[in-house]
Amino acid sequence: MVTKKLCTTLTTYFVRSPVTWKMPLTHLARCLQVDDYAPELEADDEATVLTLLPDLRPSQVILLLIFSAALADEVSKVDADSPAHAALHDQMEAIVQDASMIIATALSNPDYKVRTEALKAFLTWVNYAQPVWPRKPEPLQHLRDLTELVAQCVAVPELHQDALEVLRDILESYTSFFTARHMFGLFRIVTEHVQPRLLTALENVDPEGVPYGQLVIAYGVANVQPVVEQPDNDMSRTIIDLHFEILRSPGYPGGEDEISIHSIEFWNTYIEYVNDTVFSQDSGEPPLPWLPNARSILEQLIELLWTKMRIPTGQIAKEWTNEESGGFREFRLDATDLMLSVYVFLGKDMLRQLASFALRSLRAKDWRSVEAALFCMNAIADNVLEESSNEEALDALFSSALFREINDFNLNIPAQARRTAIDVLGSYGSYIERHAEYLPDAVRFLFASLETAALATTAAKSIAALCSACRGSLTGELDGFLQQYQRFLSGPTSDPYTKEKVIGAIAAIIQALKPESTKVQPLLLLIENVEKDVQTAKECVAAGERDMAEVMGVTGLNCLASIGKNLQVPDDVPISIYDNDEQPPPSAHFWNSEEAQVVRQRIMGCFSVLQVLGNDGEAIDAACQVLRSGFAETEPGPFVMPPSVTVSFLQQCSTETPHLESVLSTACILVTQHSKSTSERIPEDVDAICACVAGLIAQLGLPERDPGVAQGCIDLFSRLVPYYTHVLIGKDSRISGQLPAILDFTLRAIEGQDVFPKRSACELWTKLLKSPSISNPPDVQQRLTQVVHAYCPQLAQALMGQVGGLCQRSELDYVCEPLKALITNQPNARAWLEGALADSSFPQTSESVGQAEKRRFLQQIVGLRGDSRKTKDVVKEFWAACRGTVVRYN
Amino acid sequence: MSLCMTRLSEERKNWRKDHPFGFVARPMKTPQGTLDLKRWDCAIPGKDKTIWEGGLFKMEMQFPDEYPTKPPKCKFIPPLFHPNVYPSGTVCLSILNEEEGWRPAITLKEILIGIQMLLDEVNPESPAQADAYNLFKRDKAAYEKKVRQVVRENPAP
Repeated sequence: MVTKKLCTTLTTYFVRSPVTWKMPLTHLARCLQVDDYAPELEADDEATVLTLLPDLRPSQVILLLIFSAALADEVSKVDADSPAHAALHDQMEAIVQDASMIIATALSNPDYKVRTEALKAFLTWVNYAQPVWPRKPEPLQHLRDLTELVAQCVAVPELHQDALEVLRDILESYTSFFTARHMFGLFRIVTEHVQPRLLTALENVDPEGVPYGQLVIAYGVANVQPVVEQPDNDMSRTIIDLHFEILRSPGYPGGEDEISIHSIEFWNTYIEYVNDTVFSQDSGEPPLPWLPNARSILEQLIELLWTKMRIPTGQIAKEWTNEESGGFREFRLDATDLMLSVYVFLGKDMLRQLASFALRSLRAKDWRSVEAALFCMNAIADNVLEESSNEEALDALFSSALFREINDFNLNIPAQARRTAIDVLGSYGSYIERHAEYLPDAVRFLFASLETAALATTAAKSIAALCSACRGSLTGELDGFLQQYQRFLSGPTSDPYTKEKVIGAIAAIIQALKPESTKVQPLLLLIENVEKDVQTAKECVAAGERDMAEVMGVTGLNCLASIGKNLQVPDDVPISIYDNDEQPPPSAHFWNSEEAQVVRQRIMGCFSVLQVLGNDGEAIDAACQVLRSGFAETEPGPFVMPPSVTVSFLQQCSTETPHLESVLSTACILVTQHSKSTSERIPEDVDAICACVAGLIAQLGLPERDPGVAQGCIDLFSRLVPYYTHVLIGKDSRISGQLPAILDFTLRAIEGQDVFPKRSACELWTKLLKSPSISNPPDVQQRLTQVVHAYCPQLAQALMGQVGGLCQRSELDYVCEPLKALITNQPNARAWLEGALADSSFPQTSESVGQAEKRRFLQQIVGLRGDSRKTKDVVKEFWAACRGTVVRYN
Repeated sequence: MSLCMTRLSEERKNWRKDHPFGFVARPMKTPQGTLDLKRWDCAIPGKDKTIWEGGLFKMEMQFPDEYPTKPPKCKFIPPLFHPNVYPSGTVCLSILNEEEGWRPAITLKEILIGIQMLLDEVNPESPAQADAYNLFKRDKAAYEKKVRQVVRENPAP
């Protein structure tokens, strides 16, 4: 402690003192030698640090070492650019001679403590040298000359830890410190001292091997070029072999095997070097001679990684701590990350290799090895699927007995193996879609997995994905799946999530049935399940079991929505543009027939659950999802309801209705669906919706009372432009009397604190100000002009208030939109904006914004005529000036 | 090599050497098969002992030519249900904003950990999507339930 403090003080003196301390180390050595203060040596003095050292006790040598390290450490923090400090760094070029002499002598000292301290001082000096002497080989040479002495410490049991650490550190962070000669010397140390100890430690699963392993890894990374390009030289072979031995060692990564995870770094460097070189080659260049070797090395690597990735037996896994199982998972993730890079080079061969591992292990019933191979295949799935030439390797796996055997739940197969197999079906979904012949085995396996608790969630997800994508190929399995679904429902593994996923999956298959009439029976079977949930919910309410009622009711409606969503015609079904004439008239469409009405009535019947759950937000959300599922359809269908159903749903709401935003956004979607150029217009229904929304606005009074609802209301009005402008503005619309209140409400939203109502109101006004994209009838257009004219002064005030500093910075982009529309489309804009800037409502701004600045701002934005980027820039600058965050407005 | 590329290879090296558990970050592949250091596939695990625990959320990171002067763009794919994630999936976070908290010294690891923290520590001051924000403000129980569903939909391996 005292020693350290003394050294720090001396170092501070060296750095700060105005008097140059020429040779601090020699001076201190002399003082230590005489055990008292002695004057600094003169230039002609014959004593040097070398002559002084033999007289010093070990503790004194340690003191000198600590001081020399403190000098290197402290001066490294000093900026070399200033002249005063540059002198300090110049001095260090001389001091390093003394320092290296002290270190060299100390490294031969019999006292281990002295040698340990010498190693530390050496590293500190190397760290000092790295940034300071990149082009000064002379001072650096003094340190380089110490390399051999340092490396020899690896052989000394008491010092090997520190020595290994020092060498590894320099190899990793300052590779060029070692010249080719040093690297060669280090390699000798590796073969003579590191290799035997590492191999013994690996064999005995002894953690003592870790630092030896890390040195080998660092050495390999530092020498990656020769390791890759000269595969036959001694060094390359040894380094590769040792890395293989690391992966061959017994023990699980994360558990007793602590080295494998570190070795991934070497392999990442290796493959990246290979990939960079291979892919930067021009097509005309001769083939790289080392390619076959690299290929063979990497193939061996893949096999070793696969073996290392095998999951432990249940017994071992049970005894693992969280840290150990976390470590194992981390190894698997890092290893698959590495495999992705290797795949770039090996490509198809690697896929073949993995598939053959899986098949070989399958034959041997070695399920943990099967699992590891499948796990690796999942990791590279995206890349594999990019190339059609990979099909052959996949065929071998998917046509095997894998999914049949794994589906036999009487076999003792680890759950993890089944889970990974399920993931294979997810990862290679698009392949299976093209190979309907493998589908039934796969989906049967998934349905069977539904009944195992640990697999149910993943299985349900995969079922949903596969059935949706391959619906057409699975219609023959429908009856079987319906039965399996019933069995699953009565078992313990069914929960809201899995029920919803699987019922949707079955609905997707029903969608693929032809003709339409064949859909009715299976659909009614599915709806029956929903009705049971609804019934249970009602009974629970009656029994006072509110929580259970909510779960059942919401699940029922969510399942119904899932059916509706999956009954939608998939996007990729081609639409014929030629046979329009052959289409039956709408009234003759099957889903408008009486037989089909039954289905729709049963669906509507499920909504009755809202009579008991009308106060449940999630139930409202779910009901909205059911309604929305029919909106996107262009042809009649069981879920395609007349717009009046949505309207009456909204009519039953008040501002007290939970999740009212969902209902409002459902109404918005309805309006949008009926605003396409090809869709049917529904002015009556829209008028009714507007009346409701106006009522909600009246109930709210102010947008800030419920920003979510306010946003929904404003959004709805925004969607009326352009096709239903007359419903909003027309003299005869139901809301004409409330129009002023509505528009005031939107201005208030612009001025308010809430982000979303503000954005919606800005959007609405932008639409109203812009010239309409379709031509309105003259009376509507005239009234629109009148309304806009009447409101522009107030709108200008609201916008200028925001731009004048009231809004958040992130909101400026939204506020700019109506501002640009105003300037571009309204000849009076300048006068209105001028009035707004001068109005007493304009916020109190920082002093730097006076009349002149406001005038200049006005001139600029009006002059820009709505130029988007420039207007935003000018507005941002003015806003910042008003807020006082910039000194002045330019 | 440009400053942008030098820094990105450095980031890649550092990440490989040391990365927080459960996170994924790797450069995408170019059509030629090499790595595209300006576009990364990432995944962020939900933090333990939060409602996001057990989830793993895929994200894409795009680095502009001006990186590290300008921050990368982080986008969840598919868009994530979260008050501070735009409907497009883009993350709204001050350290990712050039005009706010971005500093060139911020590392990839810090960005990803920052986003992981944002998952549970919602910033109600800068909402980005209405759905999650409204539910978060109005009905915490329903919000949490929805998050748990999102987690189930995106489980960590």
